Amino acid sequence: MADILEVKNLSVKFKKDKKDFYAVKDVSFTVKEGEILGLAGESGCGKSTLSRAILDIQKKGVEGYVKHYAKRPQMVFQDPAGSLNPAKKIGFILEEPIKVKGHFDKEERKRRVLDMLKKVELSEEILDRYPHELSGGQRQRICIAAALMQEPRFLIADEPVSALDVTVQSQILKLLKKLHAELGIAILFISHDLRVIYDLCERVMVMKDGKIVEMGNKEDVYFNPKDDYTKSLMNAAKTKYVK
Amino acid sequence: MSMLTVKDLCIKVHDRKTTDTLVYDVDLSMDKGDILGIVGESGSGKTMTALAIAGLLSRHDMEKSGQIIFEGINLLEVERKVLRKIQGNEITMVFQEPLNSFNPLKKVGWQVEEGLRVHTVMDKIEMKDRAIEALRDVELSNPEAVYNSYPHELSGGMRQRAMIAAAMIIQPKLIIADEPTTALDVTIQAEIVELLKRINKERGTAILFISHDLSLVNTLCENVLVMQNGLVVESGKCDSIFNNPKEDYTKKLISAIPKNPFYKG
Amino acid sequence: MRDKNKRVKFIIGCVLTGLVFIMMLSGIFYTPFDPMEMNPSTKLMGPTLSHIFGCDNFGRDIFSRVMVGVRETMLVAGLVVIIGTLVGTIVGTITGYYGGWLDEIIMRLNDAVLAFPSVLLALLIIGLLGGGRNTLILALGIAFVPSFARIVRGEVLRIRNLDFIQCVKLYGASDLRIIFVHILPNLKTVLLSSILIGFNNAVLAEAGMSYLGMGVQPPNPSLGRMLSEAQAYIFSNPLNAIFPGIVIVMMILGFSLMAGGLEK
Repeated sequence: MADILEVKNLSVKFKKDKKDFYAVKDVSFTVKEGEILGLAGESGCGKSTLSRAILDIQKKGVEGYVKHYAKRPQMVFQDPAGSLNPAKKIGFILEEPIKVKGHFDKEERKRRVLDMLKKVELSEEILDRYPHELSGGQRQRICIAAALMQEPRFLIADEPVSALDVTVQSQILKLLKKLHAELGIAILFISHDLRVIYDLCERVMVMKDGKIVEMGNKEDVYFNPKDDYTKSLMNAAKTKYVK
Repeated sequence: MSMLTVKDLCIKVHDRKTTDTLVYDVDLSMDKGDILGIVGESGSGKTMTALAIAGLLSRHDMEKSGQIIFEGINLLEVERKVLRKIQGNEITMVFQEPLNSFNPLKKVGWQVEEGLRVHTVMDKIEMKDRAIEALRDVELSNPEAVYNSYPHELSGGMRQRAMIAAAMIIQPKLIIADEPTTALDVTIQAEIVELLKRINKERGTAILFISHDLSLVNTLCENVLVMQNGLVVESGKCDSIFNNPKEDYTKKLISAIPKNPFYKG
Repeated sequence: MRDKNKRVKFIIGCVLTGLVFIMMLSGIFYTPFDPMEMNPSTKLMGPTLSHIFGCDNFGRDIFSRVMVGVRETMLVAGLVVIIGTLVGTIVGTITGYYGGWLDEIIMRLNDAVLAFPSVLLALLIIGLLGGGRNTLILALGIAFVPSFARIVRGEVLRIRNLDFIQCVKLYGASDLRIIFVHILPNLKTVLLSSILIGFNNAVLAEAGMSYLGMGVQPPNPSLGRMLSEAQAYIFSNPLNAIFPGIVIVMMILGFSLMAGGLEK
């Protein structure tokens, strides 16, 4: 399969107390068309900075090579409350991604918004509400819908279920799986929950202190880890999830 | 007689016109050294129940009825002065976000000592000794350094450990832990759960553990209460609830847990 | 409970402001007496049925003068707040959104201006440009810019870093669209309360400046001007100062209560 993203020797440098500090150091990987690649790591390991650098949101201190083979990748963030404009109604928020480019007329835009609502399993009356009137799960569905409006081929999901309750988590994961099957889009799925990554992804990367310490098939990484850090991570997971 | 008995606890919130019932007829009882889990989604009333037991629900628009009997004293009827004595001395609380539960302007050591300062008479040197001992007891590798640092200088896991040290310093009979691991990473979560287990075993401190994560509750607790919309839908031994749940809601909660790749069959 | 208090506050505020507005608007079309006409026979007269607020040292009807003076004061205060808000929002948005060296320079300049009391700064500008109403508006307007700029900048800085702005950037929206469509509507609440507070400060500043003789020029009335003229007779005829004073209090109290009632 063709690559959709190629990252080579990517580093992100911050200045901290006048010393250089690498939040991401020398990271190389590729994402293939239509695959879900998992990125596991603890908070502070640089996974969010990495995703921001890939999408060019983080500009300062970025070195290395990032090549997108499909245009306009989109992102879904952890906190669905912060990623929706509190002053705008849901209808506006969903229309915005296609309004920005100005490709379609009003009716076509409306049709596409309704289409997308169906895809994320929400009803039409939600369009007239404000983000604060929705539940956490509904908000995250809207975030996913908005990210998909421009029909991207590649999506980065940065801890999209970590702020949600377990039951809502499983619904959102189901939705992501369904959308992935329907649209065949590639997803870089970032999480600290190893179970979720195992459930969703085929290939997995493990990140520690800005470096990718292990990368490979999920069976190999989970049950046959080579790196010491991965080993300790998997052991912790074993004791935590006894059943 | 058990240490803590909650009977028919109802919590209502009065709005301008409407009255919402947040917690409806909750019964629970805990003995010395018990670990009880409360599981539910957000909005299920689990945090409200915990706050009521800790005596932290005193908003004027809230109405509490029923009984919360701690060692023979009904916390809902007792005078403020007595409540103050129980609160923090015999019941302490650990919250979800350790960064918010510390005062950012004060050193961690000072805040760990706070319980001693309020509830005992003790000189400074002795207090510091006790605080450092407490910090060592929660397995912080360099307690002197932690004592002298500010909350923002510590990692999330270290802060939560310090929080537990602050809760443990006056040796309470009951710790209420409200989602203490939700904001933490998996590896740290496992460590904190181990720490709570050890404290419970060594000190005999009872723990009321509140979480939305049934799998986590299952690793720690003996008994569990499942709450939904302010009601207790199921309660009993953790094993039996986990292995053959009776209520549909409990089944739904269990099926929502991500499959554990390390557990086959 | 708290909601009810707020509603009461808001209603009282509306009533007070409404009264002042009625007085001001009817002053455009009708005043009981000519506010400029001097009459030696009614000099320093107390309130009577025809002159309900009494007359001043030139025998002019105070009620008529208040009706017209409120208009002057409102006009000055209103324009001052509009200048302050507009320029402040522009400056605050640009510096908050783009940041960098531009932000540094403008905000240091802003701090320098902010370091002066606004009335002192206005005095300086009037000293340079000469007195009169228009200079007063300009001077107070400039003096009001920094506080608005600071508030707006802080808010823009906060909103700029929220995830939804990153989302919109990923859609490929232009900076202008992000600023106008996504950031500015979120400033509404912050701006509304600071406009109301700013208006009050502007009313007080106008009164103060005119009191010092630097705003509206005689014989035109403004509330501050009238206070300053009444000062000489404050012991013999305290009512001359009290009536314009009451109207100032009504205006400011009305707006403050309205602002308090609108707060979330």
